[in-house]
Amino acid sequence: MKLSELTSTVSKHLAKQAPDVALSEIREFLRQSDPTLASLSRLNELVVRVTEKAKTASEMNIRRIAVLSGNQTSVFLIQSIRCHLAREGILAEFFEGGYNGISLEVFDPTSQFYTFKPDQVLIALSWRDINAPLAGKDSDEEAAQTVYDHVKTFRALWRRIHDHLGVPVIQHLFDHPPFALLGTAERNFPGSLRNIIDHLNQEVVKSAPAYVSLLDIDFLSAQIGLRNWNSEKDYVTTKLPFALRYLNDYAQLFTAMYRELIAKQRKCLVLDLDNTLWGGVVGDDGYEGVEIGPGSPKGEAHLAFCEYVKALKTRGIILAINSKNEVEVASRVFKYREEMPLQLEDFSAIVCNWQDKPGNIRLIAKELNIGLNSIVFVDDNPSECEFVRHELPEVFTVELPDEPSKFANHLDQLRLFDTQKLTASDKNRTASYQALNRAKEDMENAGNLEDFLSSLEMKSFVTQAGPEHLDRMVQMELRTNQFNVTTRRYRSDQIEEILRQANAYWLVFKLIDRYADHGVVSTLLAFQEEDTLRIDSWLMSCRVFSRTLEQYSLNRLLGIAQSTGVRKIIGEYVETERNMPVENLYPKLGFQPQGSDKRWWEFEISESMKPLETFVQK
Amino acid sequence: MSEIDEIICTVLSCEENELLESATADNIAGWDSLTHVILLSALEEEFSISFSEDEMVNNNSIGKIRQSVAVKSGK
Repeated sequence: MKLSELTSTVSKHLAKQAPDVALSEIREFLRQSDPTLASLSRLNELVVRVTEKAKTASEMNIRRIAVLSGNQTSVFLIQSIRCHLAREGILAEFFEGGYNGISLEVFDPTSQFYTFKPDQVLIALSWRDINAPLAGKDSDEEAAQTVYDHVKTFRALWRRIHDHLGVPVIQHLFDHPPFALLGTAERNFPGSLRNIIDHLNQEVVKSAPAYVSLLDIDFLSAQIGLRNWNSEKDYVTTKLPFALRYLNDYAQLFTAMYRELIAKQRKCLVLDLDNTLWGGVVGDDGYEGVEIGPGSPKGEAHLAFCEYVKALKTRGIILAINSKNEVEVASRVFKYREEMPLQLEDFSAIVCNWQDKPGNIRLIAKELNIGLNSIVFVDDNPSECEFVRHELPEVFTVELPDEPSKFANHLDQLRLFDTQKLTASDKNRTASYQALNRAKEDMENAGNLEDFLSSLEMKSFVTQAGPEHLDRMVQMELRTNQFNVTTRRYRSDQIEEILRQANAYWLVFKLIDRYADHGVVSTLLAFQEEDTLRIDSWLMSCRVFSRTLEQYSLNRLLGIAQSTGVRKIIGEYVETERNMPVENLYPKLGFQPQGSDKRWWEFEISESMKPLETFVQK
Repeated sequence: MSEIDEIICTVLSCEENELLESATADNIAGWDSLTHVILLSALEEEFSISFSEDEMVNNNSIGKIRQSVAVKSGK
């Protein structure tokens, strides 16, 4: 489709009061290609029109993003980000802060920045904002002072934004200028701008509280190359701190981070096999004939891709196979080709059959108990990709380029798995999912549920939440969609705030069974309000639903209730698109309905009551 | 429509019949300082050419832009 056709299609849908349809047309257009410099402002304008219409003619959620700029203008950043977010189906309104106006906006409580009421703040900076000349500082002390002063200002800014708005902040790390005045000596001399920037980035990373996410344009610029990234001409003509033609790369990085912040992060990579993980077709060439490993450039390229995939797995991304193959035949490559770095155990789900791939992806999602929107599907075959895109638009489909040596870079550049912090649970996740699958098989063999549950030998450790749990709690708040009774999505600052309240009980449950240590899998927040305990939030990882950890958790809460003289426990259920699994949680646990709308539930505590039956032990 | 004119119309949100040789930012509503920079940068990208800082400023009419692109790109 051409831009002019898109423009008239969008206008048509907007005239029919259908901004959602208009948006899906724009998404389709943007999926074909990134905005070019020529089309950017047109596309931006279209998305603005759709957003305006969506405000009045739909119930779509419109985000509010404020962009505060250092020595740069943010108009192009905003246009590009707006288009990239639209491609993800996200509409946003923007506030554009003035040139070099960060402190002015933030420290003036009456500024337009606050009137705008953003739900997300972006602080856009570059090396030009560092208070040091190109030649750097004369002494180590002055250099250290410069770093210290900047960090101090940032802390004050973050604190202020946080206190006034309580919203998450995204801030750039600093990129580097393309110069090295005296070459290697710049590394030798602590006061050089180069060293000041590196030091400052480290300090910013260390000082950033959990509500501040850092956008690593330092790494992005290194990937692109400093001479390309820095364009003095574009800076002097537009005051954009990097070359215009990298706007798409920048916006993609931003979008990846934003996606994580609004809990749309991807966590599972579903892979094709033939001509994806190895060269050739195992069904035709045999396991000994496919190309993987040294011996040919193609084999080496596939090996490099498999190693990249393996590294993702190490970082906590779940792997799955979706291939048109006989499982026996395909397995041989993993079993008998020593060059293959991936093992069958690296995959949490393996689906090899001759069914259609969208159906198989549904199967994988069900088997792993994850949402389709957390899945990335990778295939070399354009028609398979098109089929999956068409059938499952929620899945992010990656069509691999022609040459296997480009696979890893291509996937990496999409920034699908970006995250701010790793938690211990990330590293154990694959083991845990595999354990789940083994456990399922055992269940099929065991025949009855009680035997199965008791064979799991589950143990849970419960503690009151503390600072050491914060990262995992934030992650669970972001990611838990199904077993989430109220979906309040507490941010890290809010969690810290609640933990300081004397009447809050925030319990954190770890679970270990005979197959795996699942780590922290559940959190339960209850407030004591006179003689009641009100369950305000209750999350559980989908890996461990329906194993009577629910009953165990409630027993622990009953223990607290009895020791503090509480008479009843109140449960609350707030329906969302995704939390159907807990719709009947409270009645199943013996709560009585209060009112007819399924929202409030009550559990009376009597002295003679026995704990609920559970297969989880202390 | 020529490739140059198509890009001009896209960036400046105008119609082909507005593209008179003498037309400047004064005659075309969508032509402001911002779209001016985008237009010239888009032409650089599309035709793999480069304008100097002076040319960025001086290419301020449709005629000059067409001519400058033609000379630099050989089209």
